[in-house]
Amino acid sequence: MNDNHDRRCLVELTHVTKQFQSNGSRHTALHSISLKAYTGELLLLLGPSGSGKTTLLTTIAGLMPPTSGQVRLFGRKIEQYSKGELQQLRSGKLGFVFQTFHLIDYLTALENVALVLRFAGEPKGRARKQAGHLLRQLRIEHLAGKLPPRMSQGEKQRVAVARAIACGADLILADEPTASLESSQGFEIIRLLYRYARNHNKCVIVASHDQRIRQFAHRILRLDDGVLSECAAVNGDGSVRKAATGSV
Amino acid sequence: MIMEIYSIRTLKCQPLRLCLSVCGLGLCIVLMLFLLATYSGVKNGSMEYVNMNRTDLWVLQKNATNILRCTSVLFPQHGGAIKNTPGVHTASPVLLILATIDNDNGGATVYLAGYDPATGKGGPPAIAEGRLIESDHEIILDRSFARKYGYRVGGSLTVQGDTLDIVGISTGTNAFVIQYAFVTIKKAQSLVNFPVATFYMTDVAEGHDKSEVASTLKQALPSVEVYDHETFVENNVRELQVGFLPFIYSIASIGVIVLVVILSLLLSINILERRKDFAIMKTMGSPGRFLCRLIVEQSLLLAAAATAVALILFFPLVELVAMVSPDVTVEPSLNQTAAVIIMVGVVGLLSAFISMQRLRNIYPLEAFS
Ligand SMILES: Nc1ncnc2c1ncn2[C@@H]1O[C@H](COP(=O)(O)OP(=O)(O)O)[C@@H](O)[C@H]1O
Ligand SMILES: [Mg+2]
Repeated sequence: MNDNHDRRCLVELTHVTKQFQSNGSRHTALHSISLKAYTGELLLLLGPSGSGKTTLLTTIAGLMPPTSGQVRLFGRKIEQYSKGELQQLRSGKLGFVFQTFHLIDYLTALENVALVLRFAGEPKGRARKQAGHLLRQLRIEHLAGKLPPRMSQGEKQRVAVARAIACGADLILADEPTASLESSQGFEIIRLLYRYARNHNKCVIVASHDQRIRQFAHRILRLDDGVLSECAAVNGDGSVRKAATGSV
Repeated sequence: MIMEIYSIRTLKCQPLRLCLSVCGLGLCIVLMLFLLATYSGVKNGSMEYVNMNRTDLWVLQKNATNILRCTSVLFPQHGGAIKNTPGVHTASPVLLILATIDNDNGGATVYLAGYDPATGKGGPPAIAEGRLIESDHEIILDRSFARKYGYRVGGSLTVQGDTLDIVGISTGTNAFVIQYAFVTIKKAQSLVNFPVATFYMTDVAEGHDKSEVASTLKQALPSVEVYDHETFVENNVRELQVGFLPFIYSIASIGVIVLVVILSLLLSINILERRKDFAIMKTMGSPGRFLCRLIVEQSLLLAAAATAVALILFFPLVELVAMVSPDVTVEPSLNQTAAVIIMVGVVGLLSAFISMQRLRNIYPLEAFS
């Protein structure tokens, strides 16, 4: 569906450094990171545990201010957003997928999805209707009335993806979305996110240490000890391309 | 709707805690209802005597304003002068004294009202059993007093060596700390060995103006105080409130504080236990008011459940108290119940507001750990 026209840059980091102060000593989690992420692509941030992936994602989401450098989100400097605007951004234009799903245990799949629609300002009835529609689209309508503790890991993650894309978010940030899943389930989730990026011209950034999912990324960035070291573009079949700009 | 569902489900996930806290809150509310109903009982019990004994003018000794906490002594010559004042139709003496009824437990004290059985003024407000007194060796006892000490109509008792026959049981005569009993004025005077009265209940002759007669009385007798019925009732109510309300208010305040503490604690524990949920909701861009509403809902739900428990327990408890301890008059009223329900609502809002402060320290970043 997406033929690379109308590619917008949603995320732009320039020389972003993040340091943590712990017990008097400074720890640099991100070293002068520069990157751009565009609509229509699934960007994979590959890196081992502790390399700074989560720090990078939360910095992009505006949940953590960088120590230095500049973060631009949807073309605007992150510090220019007010607290309220950031909250609105997260409810409408950003979607999150977490490693341990983080569904709300006391709400059914349908309610979990409808909840974010309510956050985005949809009235009660419409939120439920849209949530039901989305579950059908993702072919998980049989989970609608189930509570998360009674779902399998794979089911939970599919509901979590439904929740992340429910509001039609332009940018999805997924932190280790496959880490709690078996290979096949993990592939299924990444495929869902990949299709969302490609078919709807959205931007999906996946942080992971899982090498198995390389083949689904439009672009791969490596993160090691806070250093963004290598960029590679990938073909649809998983082979690595030369260009680092991320075109599919 | 979803938030309401979330409120209810998270509360229900700890059924034992929910039950214990709702019962705790409920008992606290019962305590308040009970306190207020006791106050009503005391107020009515103390006021019934003055309320029901209607007269045009109450004449007491100078500076005496009420019969609950004042000394008033009037002599026979006062009585004579009052009766001879133009416009006065009748003046009936009443003597109130504290008297001890002899029994095996070292005596029981009553507020003995000696009145004139001929006019009936100053007698019991209502008779529940038996009849009014007709002679000097008869006595009427308050119902709760009689129940407590096992006295019955047809029995007898001794007051300071005099044996008196119990001929009636009165109601509306339980003033909480003490109960009224009724004898003839002559009997009361013989007990103090002095022909005095506490007040004269004075009726104005037809065609005369009450206030005119009152000022005539005051002019003729500078050593007396004259009140019309309404003013005198008011004086007595005020006296009771001065003595009783600070006590009621302090206990009620403690009750409110306990309610707020229990409820805020419960809500705060709930928030901290579901900390991750709140962090996730914040990450996903939940507007602040959503989360605040959630807490208010939980708080009001708990308060409503506790009120329901309290109302279910309260009325049987009133019956039980009446059975076990008849001298405590508990008179619940609709107004008081409504007031307590409103108070619980306010407590709910206040507790929600206090617990909401916990939300501030929950950060979206926590969802990523
Ligand atoms: N809040 C924090 N305070 C101190 N150090 C932190 C904090 N968050 C992350 N770090 C450190 O930053 C580094 C990167 O962490 P993180 O971004 O969680 O890595 P990853 O998600 O790739 O596993 C780690 O060494 C971690 O200990
Ligand atoms: Mg991480």
